[in-house]
Amino acid sequence: MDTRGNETNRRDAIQAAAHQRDHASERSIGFIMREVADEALASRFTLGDESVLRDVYERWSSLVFTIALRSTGNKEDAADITQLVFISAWKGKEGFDMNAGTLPGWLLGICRRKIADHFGSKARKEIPTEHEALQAADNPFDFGLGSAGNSVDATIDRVVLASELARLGDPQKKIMELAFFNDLTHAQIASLLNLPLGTVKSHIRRSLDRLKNRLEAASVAS
Amino acid sequence: MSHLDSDTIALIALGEQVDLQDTIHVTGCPKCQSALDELRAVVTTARSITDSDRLVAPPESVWNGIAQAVNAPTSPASPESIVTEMDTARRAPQRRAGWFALAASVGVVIGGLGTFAALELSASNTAPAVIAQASLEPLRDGEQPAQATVQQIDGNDVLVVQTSGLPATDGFYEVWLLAPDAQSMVSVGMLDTNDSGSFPLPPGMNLNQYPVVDISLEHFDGDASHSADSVLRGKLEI
Repeated sequence: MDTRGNETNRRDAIQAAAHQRDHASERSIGFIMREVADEALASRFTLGDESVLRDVYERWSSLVFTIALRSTGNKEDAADITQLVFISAWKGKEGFDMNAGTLPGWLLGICRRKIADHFGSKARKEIPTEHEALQAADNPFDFGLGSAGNSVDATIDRVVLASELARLGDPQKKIMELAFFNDLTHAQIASLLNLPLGTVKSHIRRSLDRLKNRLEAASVAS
Repeated sequence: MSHLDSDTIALIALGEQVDLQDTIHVTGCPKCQSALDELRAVVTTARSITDSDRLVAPPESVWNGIAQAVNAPTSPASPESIVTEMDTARRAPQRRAGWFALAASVGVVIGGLGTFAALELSASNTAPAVIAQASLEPLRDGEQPAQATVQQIDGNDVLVVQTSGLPATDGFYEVWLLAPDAQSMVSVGMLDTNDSGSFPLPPGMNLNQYPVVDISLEHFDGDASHSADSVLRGKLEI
């Protein structure tokens, strides 16, 4: 591990931790309630209640739109794809089986196909836009060609993981951010956040498991 | 020996050092190895996340199109509720969207999350409170990344910038705080030749409005505005 000292990082984390501890309990409750709400939404969807589409849209349209945006590099195309995904989902809602997978996983399966259709049908003869060229450097992407599938899957994984990470309650979210992005050991995190070593360890294990399950759920219906 | 407990496998997946005998066990045990590989894939994906992987809400016209196609009620989904759902509580939605636009417009996708890496701990605990921190990414080849923090010293916010190896110049380096769209900005001072500097911020300065630290190369040309020649830039994590 890098041993360069950086006090500011530590202090920053301490600040954040103190702030977040204040809200820890209410956020965990909020987190559990959101989980229950997601399942309730999925079961309403299967019943075909008219008002449910908007709720499903509110819950998952940002996920679909962001993935489409990251894949196409173009807001208009991403908006078109998002629209198609929810229209197809609604028209084909009988095809969704709650026992076979999650609703977001099913929606992302449709999203993946719409993105593939987009690249397939357009055959994109135009020169990539500046934004696309820049995105390509960050996320190598073979416009309109066969490797698109792999890249879209990687994009889905990143966006799903980023959103699931943001939805973890604290202190889990802070712990995982420190472990992933600041490369701290569990012992360092425990001392930073003033939490018992064993607590941090089990939070890490449970959060990694949860994130793994969420990634799997997102790719089930592909 | 028996299989590794799942806590230990999680730590190995994150790259932590564990007991040598645990390491040896994993290499010879298909069951533990496969559990490890699964978690490692999660860690690898997580560490490849950049700011542009954050959720962006679609424009309202998208819902209107869907509602028309399926004859659902056409009242648009409230953008508020969409962003609140995904919000991380520390980050206002406008800033995220704005930052995305900035990243796209200036041609860099600055990995606010990803580039956090490589920061480390030290023992001291008695210094001023840090209320915001930024990793400054070079905008030209060959420059070193740098750090900026906002510290509260005697009740005043002070921007502290530490760079390394900025090349000598005929002009000077100037430190700015930019709005996310980079259309408005505040100059906070000149960077010392010794590569670091502290810049007291005007009282009442809203960091949420000007969250991007930018260092530009300026010339002695009598023009007080930004030269548009930025060398380092990064967003404050508040």
